[in-house]
Amino acid sequence: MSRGGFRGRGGGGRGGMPSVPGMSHEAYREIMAAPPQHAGMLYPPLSSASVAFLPRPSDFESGMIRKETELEETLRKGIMVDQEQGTYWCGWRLPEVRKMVGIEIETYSDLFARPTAAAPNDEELDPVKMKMDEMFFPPSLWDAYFEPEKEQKRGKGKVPKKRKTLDSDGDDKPDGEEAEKSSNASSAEEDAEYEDESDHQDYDANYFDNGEGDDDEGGEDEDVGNGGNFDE
Amino acid sequence: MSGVTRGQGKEAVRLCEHIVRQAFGNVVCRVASVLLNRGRLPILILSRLSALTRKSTAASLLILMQHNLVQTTSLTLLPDPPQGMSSSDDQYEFDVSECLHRLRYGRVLALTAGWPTFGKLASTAEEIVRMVMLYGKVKVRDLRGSLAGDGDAIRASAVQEAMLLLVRWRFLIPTCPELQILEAEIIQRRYNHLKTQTQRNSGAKVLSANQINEARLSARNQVLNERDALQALEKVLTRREKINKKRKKGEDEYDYDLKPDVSLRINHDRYGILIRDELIVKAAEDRWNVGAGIVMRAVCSAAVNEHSTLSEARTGTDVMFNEIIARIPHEAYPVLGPGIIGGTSKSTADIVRAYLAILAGEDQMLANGSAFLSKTSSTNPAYKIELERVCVKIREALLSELVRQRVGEKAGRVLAVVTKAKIASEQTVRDCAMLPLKDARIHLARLQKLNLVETTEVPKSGAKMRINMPSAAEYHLWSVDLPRVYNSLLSNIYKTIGNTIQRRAAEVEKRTTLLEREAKAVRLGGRALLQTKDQNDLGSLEESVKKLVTGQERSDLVAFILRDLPGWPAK
Repeated sequence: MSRGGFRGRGGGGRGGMPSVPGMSHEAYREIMAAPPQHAGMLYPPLSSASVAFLPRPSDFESGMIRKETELEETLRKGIMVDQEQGTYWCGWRLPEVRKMVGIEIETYSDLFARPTAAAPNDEELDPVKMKMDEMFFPPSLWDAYFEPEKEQKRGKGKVPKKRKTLDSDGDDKPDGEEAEKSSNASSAEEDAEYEDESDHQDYDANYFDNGEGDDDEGGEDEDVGNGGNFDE
Repeated sequence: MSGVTRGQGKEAVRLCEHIVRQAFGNVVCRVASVLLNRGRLPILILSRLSALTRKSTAASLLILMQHNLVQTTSLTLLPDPPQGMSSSDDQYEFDVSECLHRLRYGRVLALTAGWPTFGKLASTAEEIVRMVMLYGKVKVRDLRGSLAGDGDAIRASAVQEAMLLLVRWRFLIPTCPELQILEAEIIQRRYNHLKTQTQRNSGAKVLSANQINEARLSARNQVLNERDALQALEKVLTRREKINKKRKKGEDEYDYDLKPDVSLRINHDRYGILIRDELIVKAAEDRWNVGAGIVMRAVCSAAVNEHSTLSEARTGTDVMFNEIIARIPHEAYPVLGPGIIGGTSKSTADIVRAYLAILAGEDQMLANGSAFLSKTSSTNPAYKIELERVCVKIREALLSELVRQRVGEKAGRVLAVVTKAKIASEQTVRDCAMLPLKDARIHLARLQKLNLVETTEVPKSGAKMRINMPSAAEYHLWSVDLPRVYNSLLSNIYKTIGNTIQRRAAEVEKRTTLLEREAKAVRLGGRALLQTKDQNDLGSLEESVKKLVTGQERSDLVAFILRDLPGWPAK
């Protein structure tokens, strides 16, 4: 980018000089030619700006830090339930689903591992203990956790009604649509439950990808998968 | 609460994920991260995207909603829900500002414990607030039951008194199911309703721009007013007249009590006001002296009342002189006297009056900073605090301090010149910052690298082509774009806090076996049972955790200054 700069310089051939707006090339050359600071030193002194330091916390801050760490400990471990046993109840940490890979060898530390593991299937959130009030949540969400059968039953119950309204064909149109929507939702829910398990286990079928679904023009449906369909 | 939506880029999202993972574990964090990155989702798609069963997703959503982190669009939470709603279009959205407020929990507890009005009840009040923090929202009777359920009458009355104080001073506010619905959703529905109403009234389907604007603004105002009314004091506090034969003068005539079925949650706004007042006091101390800080603290604590909000531009009600005098502690009197030069009177009232005159800018020294207070009437003086002006100054001071520390003192002068001049050429910078031109250019280049200043090119002559002109034919001007600067600083702060949280989790994870041994030792009798090496390692872990939390709390204070104080620059 040397428009207009050539005229000011005698003797060209100095390519690659960046043009700084508002600065003449003599000034730039002057800056570049000056020897750098601390030349020749093996360990030049650090500029003060690059050393960050943390001043000691004041009294108020120490109190604050202590309370914060205690609160986070409580959130992590839970509330002590039994003084002697040292068991904690931690309702807000949901247990993760651990996939069993290979053979599980129990180690010595597991004997003394957190005793919350002793209550494994206590995954049920206890609304009283967690101070949850049913009024604060939409009923669909509440039922989805606490009464999943009610959800499915509600969905299944509508299906025969749908057939009835198709025959009667007239006044119950909005009901029919709603029934259709909720039955679709419930069948989609069931699909979702089944699909989750089949996702992880189709390793063999999905391993050899013969590139069948790769370069299609997009006319076919995209969710063919990678070769898993011809085995099912 | 409608938080301000600033700096909500990817750094804020990443920080929220860290906060949720630290507090609630990995499963809930997965659901939260899907909601954060994809926006509003119904539960079905949410469970597919987070690769969890529907039951786990529902459990995570229940926990997040209980802690006010997720809100829903479902209208079934209204007191009279409309009929015929299908549950499959219930959507859930994450509330980023509420999540960022969780960083302040330690400070909230410390402020509660240090609030002078509580006196002996400070630790009880702190326990109550801590319990509300652990559970998200708690009903009054649950609070009473858990904290004072032993049948100890003294403790029960202490808990009751502390709760009353917390509620009356608005540290805890009532909440109700309707507040779980997304504000934007309700505003949208109200706007549609008003629009159809206007259409029916005017008889035309197409509305003018004015009418649409009016509908939108009035919908927003109505909804915000209604939501404020739902959190008003009367929802939880009841009072009845005291039946007392001899009524002492000046005592409350009412007996206050709390409704047992109302849920309480933490009012971050009120704690924000406390933090803001501390910042103002420190600013007054920096600007004048310690005596001015003491007087300012008295004014601030007198100005806080039931209706103050964090974002007001100046205090709502006037502060009378007597209230200010009443709030200055006796121990501070000896400090006040030496702070004023030229006052020979010994009476405290006159000294305080002199301080107030200076704070209100009556000495006309408005060069370095504007007045902190404004006086209203001259006969019976009453003062208002000019909050917005002070907070703008605090923010600017933060920015210049940052530049001075990172780049250098001269660069700080350069930035001050460019900020004051709004747009300046390098000659102006050289003259006003008193630097040679070479240095001025170097500092300007460094500031530009940090995104603090930006250039504009203005052609020197009225040439036809505007772009790609040769450098010599243009004026190169420097300017500061304050909103952009503050937003980029805010993103950097969020990144820093996210890094500290991540580092803490990594440090703890590195030492899981050590912590298990410690847990076993604690169960068997105490930490002294561990070997010396284990004890040293635990000590070093605690040290690093303390340092990380210090860094986190200080960064959070900076984020508070940048984001939550009033006076965001308009552009």
